[in-house]
Amino acid sequence: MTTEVRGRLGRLLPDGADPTAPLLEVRDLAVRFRTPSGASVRAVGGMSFRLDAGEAMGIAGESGCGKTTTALSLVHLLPGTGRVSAGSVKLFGIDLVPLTERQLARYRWREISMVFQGAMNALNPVQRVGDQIAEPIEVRLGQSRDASRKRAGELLELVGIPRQRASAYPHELSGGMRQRAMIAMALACDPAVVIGDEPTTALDVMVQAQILQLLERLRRELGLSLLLITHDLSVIAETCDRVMVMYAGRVAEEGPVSRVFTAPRHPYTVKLLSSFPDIRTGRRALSMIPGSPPDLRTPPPGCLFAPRCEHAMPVCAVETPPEINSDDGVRVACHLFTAGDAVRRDAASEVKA
Amino acid sequence: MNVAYLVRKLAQALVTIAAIVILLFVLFRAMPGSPDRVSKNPNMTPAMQAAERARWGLDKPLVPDQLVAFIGSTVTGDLGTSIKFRGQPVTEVVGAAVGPTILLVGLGEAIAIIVGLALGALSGWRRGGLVDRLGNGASLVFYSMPYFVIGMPLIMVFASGLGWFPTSGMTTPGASADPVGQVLDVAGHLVLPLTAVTLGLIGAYSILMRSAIIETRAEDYITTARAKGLTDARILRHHAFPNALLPMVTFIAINLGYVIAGAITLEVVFSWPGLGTLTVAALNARDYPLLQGIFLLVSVSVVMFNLLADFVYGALDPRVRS
Repeated sequence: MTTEVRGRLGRLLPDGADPTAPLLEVRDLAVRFRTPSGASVRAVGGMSFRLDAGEAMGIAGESGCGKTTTALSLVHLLPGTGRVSAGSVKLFGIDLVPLTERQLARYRWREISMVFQGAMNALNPVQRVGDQIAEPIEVRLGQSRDASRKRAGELLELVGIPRQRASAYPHELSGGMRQRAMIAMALACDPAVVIGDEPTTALDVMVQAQILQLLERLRRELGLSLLLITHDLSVIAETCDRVMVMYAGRVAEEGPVSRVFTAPRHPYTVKLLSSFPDIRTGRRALSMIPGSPPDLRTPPPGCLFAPRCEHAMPVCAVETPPEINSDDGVRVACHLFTAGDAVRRDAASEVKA
Repeated sequence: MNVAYLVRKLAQALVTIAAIVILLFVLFRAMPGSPDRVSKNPNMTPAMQAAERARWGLDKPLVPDQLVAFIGSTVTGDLGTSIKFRGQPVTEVVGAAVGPTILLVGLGEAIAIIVGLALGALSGWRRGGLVDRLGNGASLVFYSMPYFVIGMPLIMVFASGLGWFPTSGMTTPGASADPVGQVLDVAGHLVLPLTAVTLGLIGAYSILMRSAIIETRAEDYITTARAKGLTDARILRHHAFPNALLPMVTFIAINLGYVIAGAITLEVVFSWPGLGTLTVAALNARDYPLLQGIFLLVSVSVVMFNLLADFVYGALDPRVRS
């Protein structure tokens, strides 16, 4: 085994992979949870997105909008009664949805790994950090214990932790170090996709910036493909190429960060962006979005955001808005925009106000 | 874990034992009845009774004379002589009963810890599965029954009924002369009481371990382990079990401390010649020195096992160590 840190480039694809297929392509993904009363709740409904090699996409939205559920469902990690009820998740053209647990194990961590939020509880408190990083290398890649440990040490150095710290337990590391160790662990098997689930949320701003820089550097050096889940839009603005805004388990708007953040189209995106302070502008009252997200046990008909939307039209309460693709690469699911082009209807001209 | 910590813990343990011993001394004497009243012989003259009281030092005032004498001799390792077993040293009487108790309860604990923890872990890991439904149901039944309630039907069916095992005692007098035959004889006597105590302990351990595993299962690091693509068995063994074991350590240690005390009702039901049976005999005879000896041994064992729990906990949980 080579000691140098390998990137994804030149790595063998899993059996049955289509080299021409996109890295990750999710289509019409729906996730359902069964409630104790036996009812079925659709937590994620008809999500489609695509992640290309070397790309970083951010998934944004309020708490409970289905960001984490979407991420966990990709490799069947949903808790309790949750399951994918429809759609496909194609990695290198291989659909992961119909696979059994045993078949799927091949793709976990080796192809799709995760950095969870609040690394304190995501790391086993009674196991040495180095052993936790070495575990997938030994167990999943079949390397010897010594080789795995050695590799774990290299990965720690890669994320800026001296390799001697491999013998530390999670509680002996600071929050930022734990998050770095978690990132090192996510890189253990050279995965095709790394999912970051609120990787910087529990950290103070300085450490947060360091972690984001680290992710940025790793992306450049290793050619990582990143799916970054966060409610913090500034994190996405700093690290991602594209952003997908979710609302109530659906895509509201998706497109290049530069476009979506400067010229949001969906009324929800507009509201979400204006609820964050901007240090460059003067003080102003942050705007809130009145009301709360819909109860997904009894979703309203039509657009799920309509009850809170100040631009709601009669059609919004009846029909689910179709996703409209515009020429500049932005996709938006809102009745204010008509198919074919992304020119706003009259009512939409007020959206930015 | 440094020397100062060790010394401090040991000192704490000694103070605890001293306090318990003095408390017991007072408590036993506060009980109604006294040794001479229990063993009163209508044929004894008052003079003989007085001589008897003087022989056991019961004519002296409780405090300070009796207490000082008691503490003085205890510190030097002399636990006095038994009143019931006329003049036999307490250490000897207690020593003879320790072996049978450790054999019965100690063996029961060892089996129950292994089986109970494994059963509880599997039940909790596959909650609602076959192992859980059968194992947890049985565990609840046995956990809720006192040992003698488990023991009595065993005696009725397998001893009096089927006659497979002896009903009571630890040995058959004059059964066998050769060592192998003696071991087999004791083993035969051991089966039923051991089954009773083991079933009860398995129930307790498996119920607690089950809930510890269920709690651990919901932890984020278990999701991490699943995301790593590890097999279910590996996640249980390497991630869930070591963490779920932590709350069990204290419970097991406390339980082990009482191994010495024996399962009193169980020993009495099976006439097992252990410390439990001896305790009952000593209580009935108001044999103060013997009671003191037994309870000193029990409290030392409980305190020591708690001390051990602290150290084992430190070894298992790195967060406690630092």
